[in-house]
Amino acid sequence: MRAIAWKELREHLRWALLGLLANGLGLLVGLWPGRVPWSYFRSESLLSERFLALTTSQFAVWGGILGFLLVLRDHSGDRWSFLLFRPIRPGTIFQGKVLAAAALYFPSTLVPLFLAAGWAATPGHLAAPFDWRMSLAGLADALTGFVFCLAAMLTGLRQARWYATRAIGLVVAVLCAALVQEVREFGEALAAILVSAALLYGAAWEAFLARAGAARRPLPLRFALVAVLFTGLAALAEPAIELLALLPAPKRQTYSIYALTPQGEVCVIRYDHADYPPKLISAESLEGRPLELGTDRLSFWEKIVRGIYLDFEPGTRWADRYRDADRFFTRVGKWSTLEDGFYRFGARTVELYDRKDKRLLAIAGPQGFALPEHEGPPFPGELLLSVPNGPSFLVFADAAYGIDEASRRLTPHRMREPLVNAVWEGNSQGEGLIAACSRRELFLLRRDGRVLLSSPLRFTAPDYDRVECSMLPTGDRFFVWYFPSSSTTAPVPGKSVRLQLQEVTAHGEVVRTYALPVKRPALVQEPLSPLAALAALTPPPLCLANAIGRGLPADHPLAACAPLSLVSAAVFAVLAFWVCRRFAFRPSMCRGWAGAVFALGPLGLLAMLAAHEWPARLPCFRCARRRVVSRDTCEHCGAGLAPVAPDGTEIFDVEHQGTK
Amino acid sequence: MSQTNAPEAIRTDGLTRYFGSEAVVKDLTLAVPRGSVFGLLGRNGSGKTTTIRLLLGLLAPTRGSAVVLGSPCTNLSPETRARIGYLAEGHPVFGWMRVAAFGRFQAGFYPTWNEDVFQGVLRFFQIDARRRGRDLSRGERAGLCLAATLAPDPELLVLDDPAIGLDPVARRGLLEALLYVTRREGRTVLFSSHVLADVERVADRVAVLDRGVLRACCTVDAFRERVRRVVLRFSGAPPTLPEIPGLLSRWITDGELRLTIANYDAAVQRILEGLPLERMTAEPLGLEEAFLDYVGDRGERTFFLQGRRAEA
Repeated sequence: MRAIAWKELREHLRWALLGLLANGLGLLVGLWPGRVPWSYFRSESLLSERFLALTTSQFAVWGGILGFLLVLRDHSGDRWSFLLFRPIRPGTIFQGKVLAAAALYFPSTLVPLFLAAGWAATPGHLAAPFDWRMSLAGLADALTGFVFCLAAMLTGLRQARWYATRAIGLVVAVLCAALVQEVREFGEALAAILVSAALLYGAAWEAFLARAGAARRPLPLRFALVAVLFTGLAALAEPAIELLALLPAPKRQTYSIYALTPQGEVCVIRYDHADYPPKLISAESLEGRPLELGTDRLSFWEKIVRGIYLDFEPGTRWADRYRDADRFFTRVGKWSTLEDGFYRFGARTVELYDRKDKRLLAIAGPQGFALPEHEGPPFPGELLLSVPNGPSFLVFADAAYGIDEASRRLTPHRMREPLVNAVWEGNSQGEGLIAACSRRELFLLRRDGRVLLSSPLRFTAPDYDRVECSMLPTGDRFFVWYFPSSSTTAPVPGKSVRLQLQEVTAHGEVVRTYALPVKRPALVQEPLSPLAALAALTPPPLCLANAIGRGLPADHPLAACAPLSLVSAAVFAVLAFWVCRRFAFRPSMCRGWAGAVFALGPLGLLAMLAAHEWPARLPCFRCARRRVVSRDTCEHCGAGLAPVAPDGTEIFDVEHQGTK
Repeated sequence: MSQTNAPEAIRTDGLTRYFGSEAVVKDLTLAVPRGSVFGLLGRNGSGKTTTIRLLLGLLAPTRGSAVVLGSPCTNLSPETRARIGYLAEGHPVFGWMRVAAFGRFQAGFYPTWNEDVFQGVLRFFQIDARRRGRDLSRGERAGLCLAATLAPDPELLVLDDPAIGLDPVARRGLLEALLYVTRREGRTVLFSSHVLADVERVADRVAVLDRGVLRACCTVDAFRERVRRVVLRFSGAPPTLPEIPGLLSRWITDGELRLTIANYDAAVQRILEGLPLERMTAEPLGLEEAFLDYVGDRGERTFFLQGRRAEA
């Protein structure tokens, strides 16, 4: 193996050097401070959009190129035979190639990546906080690139009867890359990479052995190949089936909501949600009196009073993945200044950077700003809210802080009791309101810290889980909507909790109370498109995953297809059994494939067809039925093979006759 | 060195290989005796290279079996592979590799690597060990490949068209080197070739493949002996010929009928003597002529030749 690895290393070294240079250049562009002409995004860290777009794409492309180079250069018949025929097992040659691939790929990606991380970590290079965990996203992309390398090796090695199925390995690599982008934690990304790499490694090994003439390949390797084929086919077919089945938009939804007029009147609005913007159907008071809110699609939204929705419990931060910069810091302060301010979640401090010199200017904690070397204590507790688009306003559980970066002043606003959640609703100019709640109280604040409303929470968990705070344009009347927990989920049989609306004063005294029945979307059922029947081709496990994992309603085509998919899987299992019998497979293999196809559906059948080398079938000389050429006897009549007809010109001596 | 006492180095039994629905090697049954030089003959596409790849385990047979040095070809162990020297068609070398490095690379795989043999063959072909593979001429590449094939001291040599693309001088050099080493050591050699003069010079036995079917397997002398050309002269126009077993080809020239017949024997002679002959003479055939007549009539007629014959 060492000699093969050395040969591959030496043969592809200059390509690896080229890859190293290209990767280094790419990462340099990715980290270049500020905007580059061809990129909209500014680069601030190892997690900037530009940097990650480059690591994702260039590592995948480089991995793919290297994989193809490693197999295609030895592809031609004579060179392949020369490489293969040596006193080692063919698997050892493959492992030597993979070892060389790893030895070429990882230095050419990890060295530039670590240099980039080192450069970003060095003060004075980027005007943004640095955390070593920020390099995990690039590391995940580098590891994913090796998955592409294995996929390319599989594609180059596989001798597929259906030419297109050679590229299935690359589909699996793309799927792996998509998972790496989507998962929350680096560990999950690593698991996706390891599973994909293991499957592709096994499948490529199988393809290598098949190409090397091995009549029998180990079962785990064949399993890996089938798994890769099925996964790739499912990744291609499932979105296509879903798209075709749902394309005709089988449902229209009519929503009814309660709203407030600018005069403080409660009304009921019905609108059609099928189109965007929603179309108003009717608007009437609680007593049923029609209201004039305009007829065009947008105007009625402008004429009702919008509130701020606030959950009693804080939700998960939307951008809390290992490859989101928002996991580590969030930008605070005005964007127009010459300084960049960031709140660091790990350190619980605000850091102020000079945008030009990339230097850390000051660090702010609850005691105000300090020079970096005189850093004070951190803010207490977790940050609940950072108000964007204007002067910094940070809301913590115990206090809110207004921060003026220009004058380096910090203004605390103490809360009467610890806050649980806070939400900001405003416009791009930074104008708006903050809604915050503790376990017992609700607040409406301006971003300068002024409290507009302070009201006890009168309806709480478990029956209620969110409020909506509304302030009339006059600024002196407040309404608080309490939404039942079940209003966003399916109703609980035998239990009816009403939506509560209270008009309150600025100090929380109740002026008026409404108890309203919960409005739910009225579904207008439309007949399913005939194409929805395609959903029955979805493999049963995916149907189950759709129905349970995605929480689709029972009448959704993808959920409704579960029983049908079982029927189609059974039909395809019978078909698989018949095909296996036709090609004279062993009975146990026929049963095994039928079972696998029943579990995996029609895509399992496709995977079976793509995974096997199917022998030709020619007419038997005795029974004239088609028989497979790979068996010594006809599977129908047991006849041997038709002897080659002598034509009288054969010249065989006695010695040869002895071999017959 | 030998691990088995079987008299044959190679033995195949119904060896068959399909590519799709086309049988490239069909029901091949033959034996290559130990210590023999065995020539595999056939036209392009007759299945010689496929047969060699099947024997070396580089292709899986669709059906049938082969035993090489006592091991089934589908499962040649590294130890058995080490006893086989294989010279691939086209003399593949790694272009970037220097000759000396090529030797070291190959030596890493073979525990029985004989550096003296390697260097000796390089000297014979006057190959500078410092040159890169891509800078070598075809003859030098063939020499380098032969050196790498012979240096492990293999018990069985399998050479796939070793003289392909070589000029007569290089070909002669290659054959001499081959003969010197193999005859001295009593090794078994299986080689395929299109150059019949070479085959005649070095081979003890030949096998002729025709579209994947084994049509002949015998000694070179027997092949020459059993393919005869008979010139029949008639007083008038040649009569319609009766069915002659083993008739390979017939040519009409100046009132003469030239027949090439396989397995010429007394029965055939009696049939010919029954014709209104003026004279009958037998012409000796070299291997090349015998081979051309043997495989030529099965498909050698090109469009051009067919046209000429139609005119005649």
